[in-house]
Amino acid sequence: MANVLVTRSRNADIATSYLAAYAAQLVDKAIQMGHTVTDLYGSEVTLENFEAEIEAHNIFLGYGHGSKSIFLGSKINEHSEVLLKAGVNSNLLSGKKVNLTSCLTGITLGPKMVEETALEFYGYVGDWVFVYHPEYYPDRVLEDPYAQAFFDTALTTGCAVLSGKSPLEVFSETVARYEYWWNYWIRQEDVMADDILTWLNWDRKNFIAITPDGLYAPTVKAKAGNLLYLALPLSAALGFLIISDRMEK
Amino acid sequence: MSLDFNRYRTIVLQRMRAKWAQMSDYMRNLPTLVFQDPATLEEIVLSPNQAIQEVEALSERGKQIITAELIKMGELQI
Repeated sequence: MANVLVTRSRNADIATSYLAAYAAQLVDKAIQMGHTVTDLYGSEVTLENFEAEIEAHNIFLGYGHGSKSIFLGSKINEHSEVLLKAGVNSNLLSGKKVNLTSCLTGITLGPKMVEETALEFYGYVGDWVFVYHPEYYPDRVLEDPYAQAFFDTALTTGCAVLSGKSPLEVFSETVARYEYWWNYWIRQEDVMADDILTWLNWDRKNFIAITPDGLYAPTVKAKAGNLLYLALPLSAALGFLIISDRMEK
Repeated sequence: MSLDFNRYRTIVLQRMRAKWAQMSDYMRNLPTLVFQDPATLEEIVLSPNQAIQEVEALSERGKQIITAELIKMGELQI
């Protein structure tokens, strides 16, 4: 069993409200699986607390805002705490498995962690976008029919990591979950179905797994069930990420 | 990545407006899409009406929406 650190940032915004609520389910699951879990939530998600805890844990599951090179904690006194910055304290993840459900951290922060000997990184090389239904926010976010597909898939990654799956298995299970929800929403008559499909596809395309041996990233797919994996050595992967980085500009 | 966004804007707008036509006014104004501002990392929430405006204006957010639509349509190999 592993020592697991979870950070659930919580600000007065939609994204962290949803992320924190759904990630709480994964905390429960991790405890049920027999892991020892440290769950930092809301105002507890500070740099000081993160740096005090991370060394004693083998798995880090982070839920919050991010950019290419940083991952954020909660807002404290109107300023977001920077938990991780590439090249500054990203070496704290050495020897650990990391999953960040956030925007963009797969571009620079993730590769830097792995370069600094993190075992595995799972995250996104684009904005992680989701669709939600305002009538379910903020009191019933776990019942939101539009958001469920996005957050269920995000938790699939963390759950696979907690289960001790290999990087390819973690990657494949996450992509398969995106496929599952794609196949669900393609059959729905809901007026928002097309938007949900658009952003499920976007998130799936931007999901990435990085290990010292290489990375896994989906190729573009036209239809569900027609997915190919792109597996590259890390040297080539870094080239890929540089290309992605340029795409962002 | 260099895309001819002017060309694809027309294609994507046609699709978005077709969806929009099926929506009630309530749904058209409902903020349902959650993005992140790349500069401030604050969240941005768009309604279908606002998403169309972003694409029409060919803003950076509009380009992201166009790209996502094209990926879904299988029109984009990146």
